[in-house]
Order: sequence, then C-alpha cells, then structure tokens
Amino acid sequence: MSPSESHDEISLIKACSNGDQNAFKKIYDIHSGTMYSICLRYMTNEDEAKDALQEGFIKVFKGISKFQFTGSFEGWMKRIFVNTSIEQIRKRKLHFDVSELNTNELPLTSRIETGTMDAEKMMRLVQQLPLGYRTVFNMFVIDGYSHKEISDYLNINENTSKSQLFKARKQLQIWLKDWF
Amino acid sequence: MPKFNDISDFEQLLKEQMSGHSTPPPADAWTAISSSTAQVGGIINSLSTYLNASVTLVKTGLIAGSIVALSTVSYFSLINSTDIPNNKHENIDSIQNANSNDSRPTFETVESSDNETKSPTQNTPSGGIHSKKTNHTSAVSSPVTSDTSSPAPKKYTNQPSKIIENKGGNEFRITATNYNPCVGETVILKSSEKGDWFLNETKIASNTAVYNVQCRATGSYVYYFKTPDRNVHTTLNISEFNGNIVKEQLEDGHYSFSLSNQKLIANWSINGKLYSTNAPFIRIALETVGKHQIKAVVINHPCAKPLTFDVQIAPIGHFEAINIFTVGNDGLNDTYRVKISGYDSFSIQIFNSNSNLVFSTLDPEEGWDGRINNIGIECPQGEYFARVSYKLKGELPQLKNIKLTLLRP
Repeated sequence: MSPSESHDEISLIKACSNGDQNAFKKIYDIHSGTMYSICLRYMTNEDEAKDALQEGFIKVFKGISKFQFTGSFEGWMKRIFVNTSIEQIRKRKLHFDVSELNTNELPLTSRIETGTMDAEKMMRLVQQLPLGYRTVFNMFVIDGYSHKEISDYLNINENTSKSQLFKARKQLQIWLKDWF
Repeated sequence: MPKFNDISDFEQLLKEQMSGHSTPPPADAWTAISSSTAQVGGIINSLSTYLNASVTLVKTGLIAGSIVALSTVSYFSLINSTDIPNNKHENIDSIQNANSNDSRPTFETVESSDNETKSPTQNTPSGGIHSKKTNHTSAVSSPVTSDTSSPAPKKYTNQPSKIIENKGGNEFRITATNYNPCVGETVILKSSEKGDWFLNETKIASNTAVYNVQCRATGSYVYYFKTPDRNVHTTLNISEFNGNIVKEQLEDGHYSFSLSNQKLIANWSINGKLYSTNAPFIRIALETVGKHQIKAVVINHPCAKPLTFDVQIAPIGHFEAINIFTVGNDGLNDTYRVKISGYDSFSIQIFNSNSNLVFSTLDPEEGWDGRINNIGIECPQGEYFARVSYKLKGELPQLKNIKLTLLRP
C-alpha cells in the first residue's frame, strides 16, 4: 500500500488510542468484514459470530494504546478476534470427540455441487465439522497456530490437538471424496 | 471439475481464500460496539494504567481458568429458535440426542424418521429443472434437523417461513431453503403436509412434503403445492453470477477498476490488502513496477465469486552510465553525466582515488567538467569513483558505484 495510506492507518490508530470514536468507526469500517469472517469460521452461527465480533472490537478499542506498531495492525487484530472466539467457545463445554468418524455424506444443502470451490463453500464445509475438530482445524491450518499454542489456549493435551486435526482432515476427505 | 491431489491442496486453497476473506457483518453490529466504547472512551483518556491492567487480565483469562458447562442451555436455546415441530415426542428425543452429542452437527445424530418422506416420483419437467431423489432423508425429514443441521447455510436461508394459509388453527407453511438460489444449488421445498408438487402445469412429485429442486438455469420458477384442500405456490428466483473487473487508465495516469455490472458493489483489495469496501469501483495510482492483483469480493449478489484482475506495471524510468570521459571541447563526453529519466530522486558524488570528494550534484543535467566542483583546479587524469543514488518511478532505490576514467587530450 502507498506510504500515505499506511500513514493514515498510523494516525487512525493514534487517534483511536486517544479515545476518538470517529477514528474507531473508520477502523471498524475497514476491518469488520475480515474480522467477521474469522468469527464466522470459529463460531456455530451468525448470532454467536456477531457477539464475538462485538466483544472483539471492544477489546480492540480498549487495547489499541498497547499496539506497538511493530507488526501489522491487521495481524494484531486478527489475533484478538481468534482469541475472543476461542474464549467464547471455551465458555461452552468444548467436547473433543473420540468416537469414530461420521461416514455419512453431508446434507444436500451443504454439498458442493458445482465445479468451483469458492470461499463461501469452503467456509460452509469447515463449519460443518464438529466443534472440537473445527476449532483445532481453524487454528492450525488457517490461522497458523502450533499444536503447543493450541493446547495452551484450549487447555488440552498436545496429542489431543493432533488427533483432532487428524480427524478433521479425515472427515473433510470423506466429505470431499469426489474432489480427489 | 478441478481435483485436489490430497487434503493439503484443499487446505492450501482454503488458507488462500480465507487470508483476505471478508464477510460484511450485520448492520446492527456497530451499535452495540459504539455504545460500549463510548463509555470506556472517557476512562481511557484519564486512566490508561487501569486499562493496561485490564488488557493483561483479558490475556490471562484466555489461558487460565476452568470451563463452565453451559452446553445444555445453549443447545436448548438453539433448538427453541427453530421451527416448532408438530410431533412433541420427536422434538424431545431430538433435544436429548443433541445434548448427548453436543459438539456434533445434529444431522448425524438424529435417526432418520422415514415415516414422512417417500422418494419423490421422478419426472423431468420443462424449464431445465428436474427433480432429484433425496438420499439424505435424515436431513430433510425430521423437523428439528431442518434448521439445526446446517448452521452455515443460514446466511442463505434467513428468510422466514412463509405462512401461506391458516386453516383450522393449524399453521400451514411452505418453505424453501433458499428463495434466491444460484445455478447449481439444490433447494429443498418443504410443506407442513404431504401433497402434490407442480412446476407450472407439470406435476413433478406426488404425495410428499419434501421436494428437492436442482437449479439448472436462471429465471423465476413458480412451484405449486396442491392437496384436495390447498393450492399454494412459492417462487424461486434462480440467478447466476456473471461479472468481471474492467480496467481503465485515466488521463492523470491513475487506474480505475470497476465491475462490469454496474449494480454490483464489492470489497476491493490490492495485492491481498483491503483497499476499499462497499464500492462499485476504485481509483488508484499504480506505479510500483511488477504485477498487481486486484481482487473484488462482490457483496450484493447471492451467487458472487471473488473476481481477480492482474495488472502488469512496466518500468517508466531508465538509467545508463558511461565510465570514460575526455575533458576538452571536442564535443564527445566533454563532461561526465549519467543518463536518467523517469526518476523520483537522484544524487551523484564523485571521489578521486584518495576518496576526496571532487564533485557532487542533485541535478542529472549538470555534468562534471573535470575541475573540483566545476570551478576549482583541474583534476589530473586517472581513475575516479562516482557514487550514484537514484530511485526510478515505481522501483526501489538504487545505489551504484561506478569506476570512471578521466582522460585529457
């Protein structure tokens, strides 16, 4: 991006850390789509995703004065929204499935019928995974957390994290069998 | 149909798709945020130390702490929010079932109650649509699973059930999983009772409460549901996404990128970074030499796919240096200068073999005539070093050390 734009971001962040609501609204307008997409990936439905989005932005506003300008601002925000989503999931009892895989096919509404695989379809597929699989899969594959970090965040054994990932992959392979 | 070699192909594509993926949040999401932050805003200004502490608390809260089991409550509310089923016993069974498998999608845990769904009869009506036998009865036959089984597609199906008629106290509903589907999608039509389904005049299924529509072609299709008592209809508007990004270079050298269909708006990103949201077009100065990817994620079409457009920016500037010059008025390399065009910045410094500066300028048109700073004493023949630093438009800054030879006739 052009220097003037990154400069804009810096001044927005500075204004926002001084409590400027207008600057915060601009930050919201720029980033809410990306952040909502993250929340949707982690949460079960749109209501929960909206809750996580709102809580996340409140945290951003409260914590923005701590942003050190050392890395990307978007990356910093992403982390907050992943954390917020995980926090919400942990509030409910996260159940790590140890039973056999479900060999059923997906319900018709979720199956991928056409020749293209776009973001919405892939997201829908990931959302169909059981919550435990999905959380680990999201963190490891898409958001790049290590098994060690995942086990810390979710308060689980590192091996559980690995096996959940393995199962998530197997499950996706079953659902995607026509695609291989 | 594209194929994946293995799951990692899928994961790679997923990661790419998700990295810049953006879904516009609900319009009312901001309201709650602004009201809470307006309150803390005042505190921030005065008590930043307090806030620093609270941020730390949030972080610790993520890692520490035990988990409160709220699954029963949350699932109960989830199920309560769905259709009210006709059969109470079935409903209770399903709730228990859902609770015992709390993290799994409900469709896999509920036993199929096949009492309702026979396979629809196979007819091929006109209009490019034909019926498809359902082999996923559990997904469509149980009233509970109809909504809870697939939380994700809710986005596409958030239209409320259409209450078409109200006879004898029983609510009669006819619903579609999506009233504005895309070509290629399968839509499930459901009614509260069994009956016959028609597309225009053609009977497409008889004595069933569920009918699957495979959307093959665009258009509005009217589906009639008929029983001896009722004759109701619902309309599916099947659409298809056709659009692409159009590039235009403006007089001032800026580029404009717009969508071929002017009714569409999109979130735009350039090289993976979000640039503009909810915009029908963007205007940008692209100077950096190389390939740029413009991406538009259309947000007001149900069938939209992300569009991309690659722009190649060719170099504008040019730099060339000679390494020998002869002082004298013979008209050939009388002064030392480099050839540069299309640049943002330029400087040259010339040193003699003892590393003493003999000439410097910021103007590439001004050459060195062999005297110290072009006014002082004449420098002897021999080797000199020019340090040229410049930046051509759209390119990275360069620093070049050039060895040059001064010759005198």
